[in-house]
Amino acid sequence: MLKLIIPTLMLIPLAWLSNSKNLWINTLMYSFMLTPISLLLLNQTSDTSLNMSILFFSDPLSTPLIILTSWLLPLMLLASQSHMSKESETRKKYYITMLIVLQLFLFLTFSATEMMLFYILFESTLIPTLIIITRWGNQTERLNAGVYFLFYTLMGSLPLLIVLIYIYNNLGTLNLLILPYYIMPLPFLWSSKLLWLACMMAFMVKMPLYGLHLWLPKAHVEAPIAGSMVLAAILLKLGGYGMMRITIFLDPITLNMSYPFLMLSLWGMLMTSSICLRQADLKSLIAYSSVSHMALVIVAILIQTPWSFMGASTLMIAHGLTSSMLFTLANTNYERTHSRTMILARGLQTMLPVMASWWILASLTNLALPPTINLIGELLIISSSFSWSNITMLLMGLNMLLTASYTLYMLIMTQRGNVNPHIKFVLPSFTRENTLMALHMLPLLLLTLNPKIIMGPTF
Amino acid sequence: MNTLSIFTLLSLIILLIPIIMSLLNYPNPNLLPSYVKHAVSYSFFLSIVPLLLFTSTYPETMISNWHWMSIHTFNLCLSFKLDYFSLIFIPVALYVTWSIMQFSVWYMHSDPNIDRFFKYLLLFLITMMVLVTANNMFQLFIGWEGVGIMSFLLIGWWHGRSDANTAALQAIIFNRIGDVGLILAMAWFFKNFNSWEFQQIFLLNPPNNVPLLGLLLAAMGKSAQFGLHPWLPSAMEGPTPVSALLHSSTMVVAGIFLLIRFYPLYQNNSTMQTLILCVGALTTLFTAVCALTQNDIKKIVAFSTSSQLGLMMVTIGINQPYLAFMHICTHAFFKAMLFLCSGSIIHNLNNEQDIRKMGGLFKLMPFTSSSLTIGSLALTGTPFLTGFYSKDLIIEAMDLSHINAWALILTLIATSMTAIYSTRIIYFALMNQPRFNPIITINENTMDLINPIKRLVIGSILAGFLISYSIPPTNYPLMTMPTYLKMTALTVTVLGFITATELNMLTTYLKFSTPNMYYKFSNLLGYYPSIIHRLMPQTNLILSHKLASTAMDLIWLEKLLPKNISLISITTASVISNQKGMIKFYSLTFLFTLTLTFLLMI
Amino acid sequence: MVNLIQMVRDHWVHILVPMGFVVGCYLDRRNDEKLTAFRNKSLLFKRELRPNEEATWK
Repeated sequence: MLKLIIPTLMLIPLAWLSNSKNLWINTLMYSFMLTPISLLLLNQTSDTSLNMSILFFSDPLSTPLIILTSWLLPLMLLASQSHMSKESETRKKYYITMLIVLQLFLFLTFSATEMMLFYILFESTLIPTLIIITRWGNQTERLNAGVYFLFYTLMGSLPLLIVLIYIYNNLGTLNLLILPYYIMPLPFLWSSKLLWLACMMAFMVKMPLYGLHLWLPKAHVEAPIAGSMVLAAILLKLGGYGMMRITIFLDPITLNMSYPFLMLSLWGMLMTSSICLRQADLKSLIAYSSVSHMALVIVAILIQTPWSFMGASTLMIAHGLTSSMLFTLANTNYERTHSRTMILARGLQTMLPVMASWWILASLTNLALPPTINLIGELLIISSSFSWSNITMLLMGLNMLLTASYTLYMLIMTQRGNVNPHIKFVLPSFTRENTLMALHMLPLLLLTLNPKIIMGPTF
Repeated sequence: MNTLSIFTLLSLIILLIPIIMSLLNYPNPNLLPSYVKHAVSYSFFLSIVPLLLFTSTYPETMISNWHWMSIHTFNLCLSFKLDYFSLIFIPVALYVTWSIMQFSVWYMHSDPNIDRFFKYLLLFLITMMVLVTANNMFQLFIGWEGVGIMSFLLIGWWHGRSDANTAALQAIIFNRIGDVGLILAMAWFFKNFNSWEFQQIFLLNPPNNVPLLGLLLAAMGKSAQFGLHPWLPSAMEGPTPVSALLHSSTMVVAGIFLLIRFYPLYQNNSTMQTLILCVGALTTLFTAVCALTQNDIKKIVAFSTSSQLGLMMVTIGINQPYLAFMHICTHAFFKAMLFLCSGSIIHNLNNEQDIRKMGGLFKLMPFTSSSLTIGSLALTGTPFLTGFYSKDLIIEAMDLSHINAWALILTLIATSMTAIYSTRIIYFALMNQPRFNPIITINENTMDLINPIKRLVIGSILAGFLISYSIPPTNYPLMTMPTYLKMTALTVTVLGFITATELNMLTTYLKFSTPNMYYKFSNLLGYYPSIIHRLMPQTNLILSHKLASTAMDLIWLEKLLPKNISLISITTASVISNQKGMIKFYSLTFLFTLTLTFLLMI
Repeated sequence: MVNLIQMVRDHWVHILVPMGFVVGCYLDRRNDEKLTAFRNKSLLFKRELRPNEEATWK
């Protein structure tokens, strides 16, 4: 694990000591070179997990997320070059440092062995994200978005700290590898229900659960492109990861306690999908579609069957890549039309044909076209929720319908139709942007060939 | 046995070559259309070999070649099923598509993106092949969704027109409703049978109707059965070759094909059969009624497709899947040809689609007119043309079956209506005086136009005979019946012809009268789109705006949590804090106390 | 000579990340050895490394 963490750390001096000409190239190149190192984690020799050291480990659940994290840093650097080009050199370096620090924290979070360490790192990822949102966002609303982002997450996760201290006090350890052997079934008491809530709430806010999701559209819309990408691709998945990890503490209680949250997720999934149908703002639409997809993940995790866990981990990776790609696509539109309103970017297919084909591919993965991994994830989740309760099929089916509708609505609104007169003079799409899209799409397509590696620990 | 699989796979692989070529840097994008055309024709000739093998020895085989993944006890492989259905369907589809491809070289020649158009058409065909040859539900689903998405892209080809975009979206939404059914069936099979392989599903008959209903819903969405039918006429917004491909051998027959694939499950299930029968009968009658009064030539043909699909559904409902399959095959030929002919007419009349503005074309376009006539006759089931061999059998089988008599009568009425609207096209488009602008230059002497139609004419005349001669359907009904029953199909068709001719003659010399209720019902598609297409999306969009977005998100959730908290903390802060900023008062108090202490000290 | 110095001054930063990787690898190896030694103290899980096998404590 250190062979991944220390080079990541060294990226920071690299960024500061590079001269301005080579700044982007250097950081980009070395962050790319880090990605193959993270692939080493895929070599899982033992059955349960790959224990690196006392502090860090990785197992089939965290490995894909770590790889996704390391894959996303170069993409973020690639994506934000254009909108950072007018900033001064120091600010660029500061910005890059924030991204690197965020990646470092995410590595540590996903690989932490100790629950308490996990908690601390989980909270610490808020800091660079907050700085990225509130410092480099585009409008004044970014401050409001930052406040929402910070306080929703903090309010959700502070009870978790107390519960973790309590559990540590009782069991004497919070080590994720040892805990399954120590754990005792929770008694059916009011207090254990509170304990369950405290444990789950932190991650449910992060996912986010419907009702607690208000921070997400705001943060997504106001954040700069790298912020939106990392939020959609990885930070939301922290919630799913945490939920899957922490459910081992909460053994029999989850069965009863999950009902209201399952209902809320299923309901919220439909609600957020239908909100998407009425969005005029491109980034907001993508953000709400993330909420809707994450609701599926919540449902899957709460059902707690091997198939649903598999579906959840697959969908998390698939959605990470897809939504990140959609955000970068939205950003390329934004950089050309200087507006997030969809109707102003109408008919871009005639102007930017290559970008249009990326749009089509991204939309198709977003609506889960077989045989993409998005479909595998959704199909596993739908199947397991169907076996949990047959009625969920209605809601899931309706959601499929809505997802297809809003995704294609987005595609048609931005790409099809007549060209607006004011965008006659758009810049052509750059090689940088096409590379960026290709680097999002390639993993999605390659993973389709072998989805086993992202199916999580229950595979 | 080996030759069978080798040749089938070869013909499938050849289809992929142009796609791969377009990804690499091929020399000239303008050549891609002809590459695609040739690839499809070679593929057709290769697929003849397995067909001939099949007609001689009836082998059936299944190839599993790539293990994709196994989740616990659940296996997913890449496997192809080469049996009766797929081995016959592949050559038919390839033959028809070959003609359509060649036709589109002519039809789309002025389109700047013609290479992309061909790529889409080819992908459309490939996904259909995947669907047909699939041996497990996942693979079938890949083809199923692929067909849907490709139809979305192709129907919305002229995306500058908002109608085309709407039609494309409509197609995908109605299809998606059907997909819910397929997903339901898949989830059910996964949960109860733990397998998506056809063989294993057929071994274990499902104890209840849930998955079967799901499959029926899927078939209804894809094959545009009543309730989910409006997308099919709207899909006419696409270019004519797309309509031809969509309506003949891909996409719409996929739904029927799904039911045929799964017929072992329906075989002994009378509830489902009755349901299928009723759905089919309703569709065939309703769409035939709608077809009667349409004036757009493509819409008439589209509704006739819908009506024929209903007929196929009815055939499955009376437990004759093999007959339904044969009707799919024969229908492909003449339906593709009807579309190509109308495409030729439309193109030559400078994009005029209204049959009221045609007329007299049999002198100007003799070849197209005669093909159109042959196609219409084949469609109505004229003896010894292609349509006869399947349609006549279907109606005879129906007459002999003892299921729902009402459904059968509806179907018979619809059959006679087939003759009526076919006559109407012939009468208005081909006969009498021309009613279009005289300056149009009409020319049908292009090889790329004549050859495909010629091939399809041959198909429309001979295919039915060849297919029914060489491959006897496996479960024939008992073929002894009284003469009047034997003659039913023919009688209703002839009746339809006579009525239509009479009516057409009558109406030509009639005075103008306001259209009556029935006419409006038929012309406005039974008010279905105006009710359903307004009501449901509007309710949904209003709900999503008012309830989901405004009421829940912006008011309740936002007010309840963040705004409420900030409000509370601001109020409490101002209430609790005793600093009110009254500086004079404070100073005065200070002065007062200071003076007081000073006085007290003294 | 000046050129070389200039080049070194421009590009010495490239050493940072590979160095980090080497150090990381070294520390990982050390850690593995330490944990192997720890494991070998236990009687139940003690195991000798096969010839040509790297220090691993799995």
